[in-house]
Amino acid sequence: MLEMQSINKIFTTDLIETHALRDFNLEVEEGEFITVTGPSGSGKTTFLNIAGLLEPFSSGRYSLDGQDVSQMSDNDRSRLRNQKIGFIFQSFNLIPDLDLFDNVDVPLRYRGFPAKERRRRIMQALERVGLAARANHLPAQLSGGQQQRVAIARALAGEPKFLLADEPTGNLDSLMARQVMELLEGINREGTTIVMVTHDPELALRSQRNIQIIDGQVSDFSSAPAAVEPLV
Amino acid sequence: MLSYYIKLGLKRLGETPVLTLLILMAMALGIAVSVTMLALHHAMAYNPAEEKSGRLFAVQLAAYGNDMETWGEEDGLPIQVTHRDAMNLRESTIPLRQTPMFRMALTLESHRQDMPPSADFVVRVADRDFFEMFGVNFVYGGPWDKTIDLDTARVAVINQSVNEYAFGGGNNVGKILLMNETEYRVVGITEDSNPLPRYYDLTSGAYPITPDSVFIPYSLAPQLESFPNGNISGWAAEPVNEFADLLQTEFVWQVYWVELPDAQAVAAYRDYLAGYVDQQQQLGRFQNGQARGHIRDVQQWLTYNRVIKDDNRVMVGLSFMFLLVCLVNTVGLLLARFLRRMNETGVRRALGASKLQIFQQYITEVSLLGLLGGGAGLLLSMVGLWGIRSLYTQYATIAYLDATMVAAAVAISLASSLIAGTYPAYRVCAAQPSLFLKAQ
Ligand SMILES: Nc1ncnc2c1ncn2[C@@H]1O[C@H](COP(=O)(O)OP(=O)(O)OP(=O)(O)O)[C@@H](O)[C@H]1O
Ligand SMILES: [Mg+2]
Repeated sequence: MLEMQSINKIFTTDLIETHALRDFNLEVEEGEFITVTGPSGSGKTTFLNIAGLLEPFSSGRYSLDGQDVSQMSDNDRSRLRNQKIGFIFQSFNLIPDLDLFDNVDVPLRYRGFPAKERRRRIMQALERVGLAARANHLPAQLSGGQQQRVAIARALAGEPKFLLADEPTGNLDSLMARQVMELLEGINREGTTIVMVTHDPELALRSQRNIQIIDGQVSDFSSAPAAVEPLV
Repeated sequence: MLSYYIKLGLKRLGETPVLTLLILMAMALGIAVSVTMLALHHAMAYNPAEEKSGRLFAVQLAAYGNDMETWGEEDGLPIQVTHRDAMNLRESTIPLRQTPMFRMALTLESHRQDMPPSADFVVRVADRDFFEMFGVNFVYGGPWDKTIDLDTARVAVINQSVNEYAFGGGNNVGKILLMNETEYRVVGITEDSNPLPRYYDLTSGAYPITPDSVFIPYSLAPQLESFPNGNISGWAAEPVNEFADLLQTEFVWQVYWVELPDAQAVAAYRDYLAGYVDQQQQLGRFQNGQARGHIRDVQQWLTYNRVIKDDNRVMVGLSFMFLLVCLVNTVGLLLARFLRRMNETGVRRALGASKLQIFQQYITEVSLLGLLGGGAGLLLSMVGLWGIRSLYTQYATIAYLDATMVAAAVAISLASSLIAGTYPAYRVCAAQPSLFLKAQ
């Protein structure tokens, strides 16, 4: 599903060069649910952004679902992102002045579905996360957990093969975090590959595989979840 | 997708009314000022002679006394000629067509009941060639016979308005029109036309309100008893008690036009004028050192009479500079507006929008602003033109927006919004989306 070989990512600012990923190698099989842990600033988000084609990388090879993405145009990368990838963020990132319906609509618009198909998918996705009755509410009218579920609905509506979540439970209390986690597990059972960054050791233990990123590299210790004692 | 962008754009315009209003005001003001100046310039620079402009020439003669330094315009040429010279010039066979002309105010009487006599119609006295030279279109009948230019007859050509006033419309060729209690037989009825600027006779203002409505033969001039109501000027103190005297003096009060179809005719006519001046000098007239003849085509005539001024072009240029200043302001405001929504842009990029799609979304929003700003600007420029009409009476008939100017205004506002919006939209779509998706 995802294959990264010797990926390097260097951020150059006026003052310093940051080697956010160095010789980063990772393979993710289709249908896996992987959690990513690691200290703050170790490169987890950077990895996720590169995996999600949101950010270019400095060197290395990356192929997603069998396609080499390094030479792709912005258009092609955007289309791939639109069709195969779903994003979930720690801060939800809903568009505040659009209601839930229109928020979930966003990726479907770029997909070019006709209105009827969009409506069907939006309502289905909102039902899935239990918020269909609130389709016309604004994000600010919802609790954090509900907002994150809308974000999940938005990620699901396009039926992506690959879901990338960056600390999706980071802003939620444990009850809501568990609810979100169960939702993601259900999605994974239906075949969607999930990569989730988390600081929560309990959640990391629940996944099939945990990898640890330390200083921009996949740490040697990462493997089976039971063996991992993530740093918080 | 466009409808989606429009929907989003309209929503956003309504959500930030203050910022939207500021941007709209900046755009509307710039557009209003430039469209107002452009409309004025467009109307003033208009040459109604169009394709005949290069064939029609106004004739000037420096025909004044020895003791005078200079007289007339700056170049020592008056823009009118004397009746005597007009009568002489008429004898030349070089021009394809030619006509002297002046205007009068006569009192018309109507055949309709309850219609009071009217002196509101302008009467133009000219030769038959006038109609062909200045593109007057006939509805009924036609110009008077060529022989009337020599032998004279009391005939008249009237326009539709006079036809309506005097007869209540319809074909009234052959009927009698009463002017100053004198009978004229109607030979032709023309469309109403009011070419502005009134290039063929600028002596009573370039933009008169009243069109020429009645035309009578120039050969009637000796029989007319009332004075013309155009400009009369003279360099010698000659006594004039009645109209007949005026015909014999050195007062200038007529405009003379010739139609010269090609360069050969132009050269021949120049020679002819030089010869005429020599001849008049030998007869004891034209004693000034500057004595000479001169011809100018319509475009030159309009410039020479300062109907088309360089100032106007400068004003238009300045107004577009002002528009530019407004646009620079708009760029700043748009940038502020767009950058505030960078998080949304990052989300859209993450969910699959390409850079181009983001650019299109923002450009659509800017175009909506441009159209609204252009509409407001158009309204403002109407107010501006109304102001110009009421402040400067000389522009009262032309300070209007015609269809071309409305189209120009729409084009200017769309172009302005694209100019102002491209950079902010580019900045937004080129930004690295992941930067704006960080945890807040
Ligand atoms: N746009 C950027 N420009 C410069 N440096 C950056 C940029 N983004 C990330 N970095 C740097 O790259 C390194 C990795 O950052 P990253 O956000 O991937 O860490 P992280 O593991 O997600 O941390 P956290 O757990 O706090 O979210 C950090 O040192 C960070 O300062
Ligand atoms: Mg992070």
